[in-house]
Amino acid sequence: MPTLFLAEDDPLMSRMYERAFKLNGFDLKISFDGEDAINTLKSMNPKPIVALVDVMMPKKSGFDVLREMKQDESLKNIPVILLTNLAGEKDAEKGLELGAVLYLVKSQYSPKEIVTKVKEISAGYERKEGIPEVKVSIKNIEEK
Amino acid sequence: MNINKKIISFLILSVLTVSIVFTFNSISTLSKNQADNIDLFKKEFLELSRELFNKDYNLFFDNIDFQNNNKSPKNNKQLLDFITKTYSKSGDVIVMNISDGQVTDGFSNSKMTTLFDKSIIDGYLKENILNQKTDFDLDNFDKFSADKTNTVIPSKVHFRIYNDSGIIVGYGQDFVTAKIRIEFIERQNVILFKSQFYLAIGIFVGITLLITLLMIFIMRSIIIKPLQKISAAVDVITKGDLTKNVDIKSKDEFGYLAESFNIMTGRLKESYAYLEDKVKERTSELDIKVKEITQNNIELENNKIVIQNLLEDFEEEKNNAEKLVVIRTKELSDEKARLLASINSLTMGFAIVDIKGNFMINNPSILYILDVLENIKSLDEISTILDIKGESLLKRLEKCIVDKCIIEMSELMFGKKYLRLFLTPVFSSDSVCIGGVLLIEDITEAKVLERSRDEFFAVASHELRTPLTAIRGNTEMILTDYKDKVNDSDVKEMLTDIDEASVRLIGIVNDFLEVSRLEQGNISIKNTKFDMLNVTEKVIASLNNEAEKKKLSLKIITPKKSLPEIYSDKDKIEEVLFNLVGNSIKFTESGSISISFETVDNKLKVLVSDTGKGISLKNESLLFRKFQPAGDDILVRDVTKSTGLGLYISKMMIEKMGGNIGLEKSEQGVGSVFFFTIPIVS
Repeated sequence: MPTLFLAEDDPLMSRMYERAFKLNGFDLKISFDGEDAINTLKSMNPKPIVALVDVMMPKKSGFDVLREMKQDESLKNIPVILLTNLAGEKDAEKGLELGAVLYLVKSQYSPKEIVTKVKEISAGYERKEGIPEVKVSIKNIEEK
Repeated sequence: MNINKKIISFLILSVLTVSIVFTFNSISTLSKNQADNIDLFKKEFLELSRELFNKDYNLFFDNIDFQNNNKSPKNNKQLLDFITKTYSKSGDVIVMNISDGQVTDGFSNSKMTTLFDKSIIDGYLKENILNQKTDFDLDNFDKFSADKTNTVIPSKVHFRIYNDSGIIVGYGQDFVTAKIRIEFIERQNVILFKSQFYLAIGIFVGITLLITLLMIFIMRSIIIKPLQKISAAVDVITKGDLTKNVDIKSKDEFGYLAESFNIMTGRLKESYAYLEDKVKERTSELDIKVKEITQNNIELENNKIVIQNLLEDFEEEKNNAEKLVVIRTKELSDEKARLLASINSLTMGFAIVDIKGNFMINNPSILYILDVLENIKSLDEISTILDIKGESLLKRLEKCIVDKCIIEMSELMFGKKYLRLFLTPVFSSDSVCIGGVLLIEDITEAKVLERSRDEFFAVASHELRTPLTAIRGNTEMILTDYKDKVNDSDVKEMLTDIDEASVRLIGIVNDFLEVSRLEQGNISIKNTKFDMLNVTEKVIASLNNEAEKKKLSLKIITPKKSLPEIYSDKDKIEEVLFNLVGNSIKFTESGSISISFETVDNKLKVLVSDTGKGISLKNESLLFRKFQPAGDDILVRDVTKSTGLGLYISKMMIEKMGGNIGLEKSEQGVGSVFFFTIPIVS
């Protein structure tokens, strides 16, 4: 069973996504803050096929987690989806610049749609075809 | 003075004048002759002197040469001895060494040095020695003049050089005796001139007296006697006696005059009688006139009384007017007081400045806002206090007077305060600028509010969405993944309602946030080149499901020519089109929705036509307003369809991108056509 990783401090969210992924045949490891996220990711074996990371979290922000992952040899190849309700355009740009494959505004996607996105990415990842090109729709991103 | 004396004085004066003019003429002639005589004498005298001198010095030098040659002296000592022997009393001798120009012993003669300045002699000798001359003269004849002021004594020196002995010998003479002779002659001339002058005057005075006496005698007999007779007759007539005649029998002008005079007195007698009659007549006429005038005076007096009455009335009117002015003045001062009170009570800083920027009136608020204690006197002080960069406020005001504009400076940082400043020129009724009005507003509080509003939106966007996402996500999962477990149809319906509510709420939150961003201008346009047809196809694809649900056909009317390339913000255009097509789907029950294109000027016009129920005229004007759905009446709104912000957002975005949006046409029961325009790549 493919394993995913989710960093999400809000139990409302984490429970919902956990249910959705498990229903779709994924195993899910969850961290509730940024620091724990990095430690958990390092200790995980095998590594998750996709990491979903919230931006606003205690201790370390999602951006920090992403930055540290990209500096770690064992973590830098894990595709990262930033999953957040922080809908600023600048935030989205920053996330993609740091190496996230997707920047998704939670309120704009149902859990099912997010599962679909993860499937698309993991399929490409498994086939070693690289990460599929995805765009961030302006409809979901606000400008600041 | 009678005529007799006048004539005599005149005659004497004229004769005297003639004699004086003549005398002066003689004197000037005499003086000229005298000057000529002196010049002539000077010339002759100098010539004679030169002749005599030449003889003298030739004799002198011949003597020396003779002795010198015969006795052959070999040194200057011997030569000097000869000169001593030859030296005559008639002239002066000087002997000098050639080498140093010093006077040789025994041969300086005081007279020589008084005749000529030693330096002149030295310079002169040097020049001639250089030119290798052996004989030469030095004289001052050209400086000598023969008038009385002359002080230069005419004198002459002849030099001869004896190279063998190494000496120069000078022989000179002065002609002082000649000068005395000239003076004597001059004196003689003056005496001669004086005697001639006195004689001339004597003769002229004598002749003058003779002529005068003769003239007086003639005058008396010819003119004065008849005149005296006439004068006496006139005296008599003046006293009123017209019977007196003048007795002159001569045949000349006086005889005629006397005759005419007699005729005249006769005529006068007649005239006088006539005049007396006339006077009587005129006197009676005057009496009548006087009566008339008296009558007129009475009338005038009456008129005067009327005018006085009028003047009194006028005075009263004037007093009334003055009272009115006093009242008006009071009203004006009250008005001014009210105005001042209003200005002083303003929380906004207020000042009126004159054309030079000096303060005329200001309220306390302006001092409070600018944190100053002392009164401000000019605009320049304001510029300094606010640290205004670039041109001073006064300069800007001067420009505004010409351009008739208003200066507005919003968000001026002043310490911890944010200020807004307005400066407006004030024009009098005849369009002459008489100064300006300055307003300064403390907008710190407004800025703080604005900032907290921004923060509110940031929090709202994040915190509202999170729970909404949970509601939406969970409901949707129940309805899809757990639908087998929800068997009760009521529960299922309730869950569907929750799902729809959450979707709508998310939509509202998003629309609200978007509107607030647009209204604050927090929106950036990212222009790129793109093909409008692609965008349209994408929008149709994403809305096809919705249309199919209502069995509406959704189509693009493909243009005959390929569409021009667009330069605009692709995502925003997509959103606007999505909005318009979405609205059409919402408000159309059957038929079709079609999208077509037109090129107008430099813009591409996109038209969205539907076969909906149309929009009534009265609602047309409400379209594109906030919270105004595209559908119908404001009170009969279908909240299930929209928040009413879609068209408002679309309008703001299109206008920001330099385009236009609106209702092309609409007919109730037939359908509506909406459009928007976008700039084409030029």
